[in-house]
Amino acid sequence: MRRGAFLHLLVRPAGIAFAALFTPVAVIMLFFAGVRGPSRFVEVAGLVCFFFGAFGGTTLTDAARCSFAWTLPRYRRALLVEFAFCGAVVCAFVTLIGAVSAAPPAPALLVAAVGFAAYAVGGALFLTPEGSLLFPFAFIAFVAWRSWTPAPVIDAPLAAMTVSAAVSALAMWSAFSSRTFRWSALLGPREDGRLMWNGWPTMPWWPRLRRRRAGAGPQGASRAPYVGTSVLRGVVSSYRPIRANARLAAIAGLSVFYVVAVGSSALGSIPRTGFWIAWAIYIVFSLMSRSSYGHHSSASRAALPWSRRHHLAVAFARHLGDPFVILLVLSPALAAFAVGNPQLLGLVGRGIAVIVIFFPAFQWAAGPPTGGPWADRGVAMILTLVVGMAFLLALRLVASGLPLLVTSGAAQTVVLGLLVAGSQVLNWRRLKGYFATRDLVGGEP
Amino acid sequence: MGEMIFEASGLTKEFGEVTALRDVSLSLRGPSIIGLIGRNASGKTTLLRHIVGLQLPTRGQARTLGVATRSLQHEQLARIGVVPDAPAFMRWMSVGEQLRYLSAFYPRWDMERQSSLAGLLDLDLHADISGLSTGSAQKLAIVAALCPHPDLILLDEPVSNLDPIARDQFLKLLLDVVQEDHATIVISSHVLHDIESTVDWIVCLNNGTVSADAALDDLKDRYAEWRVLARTRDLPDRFADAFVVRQAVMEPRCARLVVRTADADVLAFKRAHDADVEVAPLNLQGLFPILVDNGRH
Amino acid sequence: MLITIDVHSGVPAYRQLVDQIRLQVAGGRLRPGDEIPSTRALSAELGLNPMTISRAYALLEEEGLLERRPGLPLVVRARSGATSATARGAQFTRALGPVASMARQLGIGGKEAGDALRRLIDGNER
Repeated sequence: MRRGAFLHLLVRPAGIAFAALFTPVAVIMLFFAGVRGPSRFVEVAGLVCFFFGAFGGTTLTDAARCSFAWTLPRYRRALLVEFAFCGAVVCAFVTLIGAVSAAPPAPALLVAAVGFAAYAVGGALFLTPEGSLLFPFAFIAFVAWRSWTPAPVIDAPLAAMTVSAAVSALAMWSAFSSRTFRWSALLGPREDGRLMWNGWPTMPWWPRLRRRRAGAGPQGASRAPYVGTSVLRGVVSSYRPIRANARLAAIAGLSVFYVVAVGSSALGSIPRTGFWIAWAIYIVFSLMSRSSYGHHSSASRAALPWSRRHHLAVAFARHLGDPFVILLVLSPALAAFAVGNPQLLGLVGRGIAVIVIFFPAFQWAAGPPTGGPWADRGVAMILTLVVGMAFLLALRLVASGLPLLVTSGAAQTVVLGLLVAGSQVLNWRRLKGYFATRDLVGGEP
Repeated sequence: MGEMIFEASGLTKEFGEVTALRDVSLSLRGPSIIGLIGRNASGKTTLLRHIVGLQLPTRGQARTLGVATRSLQHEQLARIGVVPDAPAFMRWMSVGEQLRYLSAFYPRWDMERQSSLAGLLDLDLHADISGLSTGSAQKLAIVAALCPHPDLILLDEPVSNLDPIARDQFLKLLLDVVQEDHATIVISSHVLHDIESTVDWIVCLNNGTVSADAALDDLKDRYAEWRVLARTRDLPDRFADAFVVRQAVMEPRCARLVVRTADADVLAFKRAHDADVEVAPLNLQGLFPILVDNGRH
Repeated sequence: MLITIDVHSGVPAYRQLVDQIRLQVAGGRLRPGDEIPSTRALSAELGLNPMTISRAYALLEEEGLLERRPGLPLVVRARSGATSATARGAQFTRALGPVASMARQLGIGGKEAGDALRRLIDGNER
């Protein structure tokens, strides 16, 4: 099956849903951007192509993680050719819109070059081991570049096109290298969760810090503290599997850096507020996606002698604890921000409330693995997009909109408090229903 | 005989359109070694998962160690050891670390048994789980299941990936465990050859229904193989006797039949067809095609 | 006690064990008062389910072949000479069943078969 290797995979419910949902959104975004000028258009074109590429990348990941992906002859080549072909189609589509909507029309070659580079990067993102690890840093770098130097792209088209070409080549080579495919075939399908940010990838070159122990250990040696029916100890033990996650380590590192950076810049006015907010949202978003009630992977869930009631208690305690852990990490930065901008205190408070309200939504979305359509990584990506968009929208609405409806600060606190309590109650009932009636392994959501 | 380990009545499990278990009614008592056999996709894994409460019935009841499976508490679950068919562990840990991690969840964890089992099965405690072969992962699962001294051990295809020597050691190990802990073992396996020597009770699943639930010795007594040699005249093309369960008429003068011994009268048959009959018993391998045929046995 | 059990022969293991012990007692290899290995030891030696062993032992005890003493291993019970002769004869006849069947198939008459058997037992083979 040399023809249609990749195209065939796109025609599935997730692919159709993505096309149906995202294409009109993309067209609208591009038209609006075009109206605002060619430089803006080029940026949005890159963004749109990135999302198309990312969806293609999820499809590629699904394909590469099968055991036959390595042995099927010329499979990689077929996938590469068709992926590139789709990229060309997307770029052509975007360029066409640019020629029509932007005034003056954006230079077609520049749009195509930038678009294809973004598409390739999107594709490589989840397919390669490096991509998913580097993504947090790349995101921050991109947002920083965007905040400090607004779109020099249009001013230096030749340089931009050269860089884009280089980036495209690098991304494609990385995505379709034999190393990537070998690693993917051995790794197998993703383990856990519905949100695509979930799962515990182990990097092949991540150095394993291990303390060498001499001998096999004394017989009858004391073992780890007994968990039993203690919810607290159960919650603590459920954090242990997280330790090995490389991507999470990257995000944690960024969080610390963020806290330090914001804290230090509070002495003066904070430049480029948008940048800091974007970064904060990214950290929150990533960490929220990791909090699910697959608090152990499904395989080890099977091994633990926990009653369903205990699973429920631990899951809920964990769900309640996670937002507070995140806020604790960000609290120095938030405090510094609030001190430096006392007039924005209400805004920060409302933002935090939205985070806490929305947490259960992410926890549901990041839920346990199931068969059927949920095993499709494309579906997971759509879910990520939808939940993520809803969260950002709610953030915007509540942060700016709530004071218009409810003017007094106390009343706002009451309203948000009720929403927080409400979302937690809903979460508790959902978890209760899940653990009381659902299969813990190979069941349905 | 002993404690009621698992009972199911009218147990039905549907996954959307697929019915994995159909109206299953069983009473498993211990201590005993129970062999769970059946063709692929007959519902063996699903049944084992129901016993430990991982999956819940769509209809019907299931009780393990006296408690409904949806309400199994830590007290019961800590007495159950499970070796699943595709064991998956935390890939970044070493074998020893994973065992230490799991030991925290059990009130009783025998470190001496852990060392001796690891030695017996040749499992390296320092090895990384990500580098383990399927057979070694299965060995790890076995060690992890046995160290807490469970009263009920569920094994889903435990020997399929073990080399012949490990297989022998494992089966002897099971017998030791039964003696020492008076445990009940439910072992699902395709390798009838191996489990035949260890099991005393057979539960056979066929398309989600129970087609046999009896002691192995009783099943062996229930059926017999007849090798029929005609003396003077040809044998009929087909034997219409009710007690004949299977037949293969090879040439006009010889045939191989499987009969139900309760109804079969050898002498009458010999007279009727003027033939010699050699009666031979059937082992589990020979019984299998009959047990997985439709109908209750 | 030298026992060989073929679990794959189709004959239930417990019955094979019962037959072999009976044979050994009848043949004099197990004398009255000899101790029988414990269930655990025999199970480990033969790789059999201990319930199979206990079932066989229980059957033999019922038959009166074995005797249980409190706190001590099972022993072979003393039996009268006549009974054991009957038992031996019965076992031998049972073993001859398939041979007779084969003789009939090969068209070998009773006298010829008897001669062949006599030669084998007396140790003169041709």
